[in-house]
Amino acid sequence: MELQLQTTRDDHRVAWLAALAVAIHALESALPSPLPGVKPGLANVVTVAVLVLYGWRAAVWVSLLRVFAASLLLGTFLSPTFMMSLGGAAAALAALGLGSLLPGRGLSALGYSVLAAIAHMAGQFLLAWGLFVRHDALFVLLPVLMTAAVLTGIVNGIIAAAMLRRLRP
Amino acid sequence: MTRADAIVLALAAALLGGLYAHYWRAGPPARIAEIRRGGELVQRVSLDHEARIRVAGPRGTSVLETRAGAIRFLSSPCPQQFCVHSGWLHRGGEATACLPNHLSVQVLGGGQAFDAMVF
Repeated sequence: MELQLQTTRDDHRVAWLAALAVAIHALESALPSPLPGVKPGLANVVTVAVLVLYGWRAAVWVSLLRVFAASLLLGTFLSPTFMMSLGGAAAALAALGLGSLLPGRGLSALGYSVLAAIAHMAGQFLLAWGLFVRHDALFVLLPVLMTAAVLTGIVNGIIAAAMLRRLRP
Repeated sequence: MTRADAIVLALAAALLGGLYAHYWRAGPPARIAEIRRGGELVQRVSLDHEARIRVAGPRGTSVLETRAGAIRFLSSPCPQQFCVHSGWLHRGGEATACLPNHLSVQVLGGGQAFDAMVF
């Protein structure tokens, strides 16, 4: 008996965008990292663009699909790396959810990107401190890690904004 | 860039400033140094005058030098001299060690930076 899944246009869109995010994530993983936990995070450009174009729920789908699919692709599924990735994504999505509730014109791609980056780093750091390295000396790293988060958040936000300008002339 | 974006960026800058100010502050001034061999306390030195302290370890004798508010390894029988190169310790919580000679120095002036040292 053949099984037919009914898919909607939204399903296709989410799948397509998630695949794009996975591809960016996988390609970026080839780059060396100056410090553990510091990376450009270019796949987040897709998350922010999806948030602006299609709303928070779509961004959640694309983001979580990316975390799971990329971890399967890179062989880190259910590893500590995966926990950190998921924790960071959850924190970032929560912050984006709150940010999207702002009245008036609210945040644009840049603001969303920086907000998500800060929340992502804070969530990951707390997870690392709570689960893996329970030493107060770890907090000496936090200013540097958060600086990297803010800078990459700004860069990714600029890229997302440029992308959105081309998509919505 | 919207007004909300600008507020987020301003808050981000404030957050970064606060993090550096809080976690990168230097410790209290150095008062006492504890010299340990293999983890066991050998000597507790008050850092208030100039002195040279000779401490024997399994590889030989290390010489420590103190002055008002600071202590350092002057010489040590180890191949890479990390202990000597770490220089003067002058804030509470700082520490250094000569691992080949099983010696460690912990400066006290407030809290301790390391819970334990195991050789």
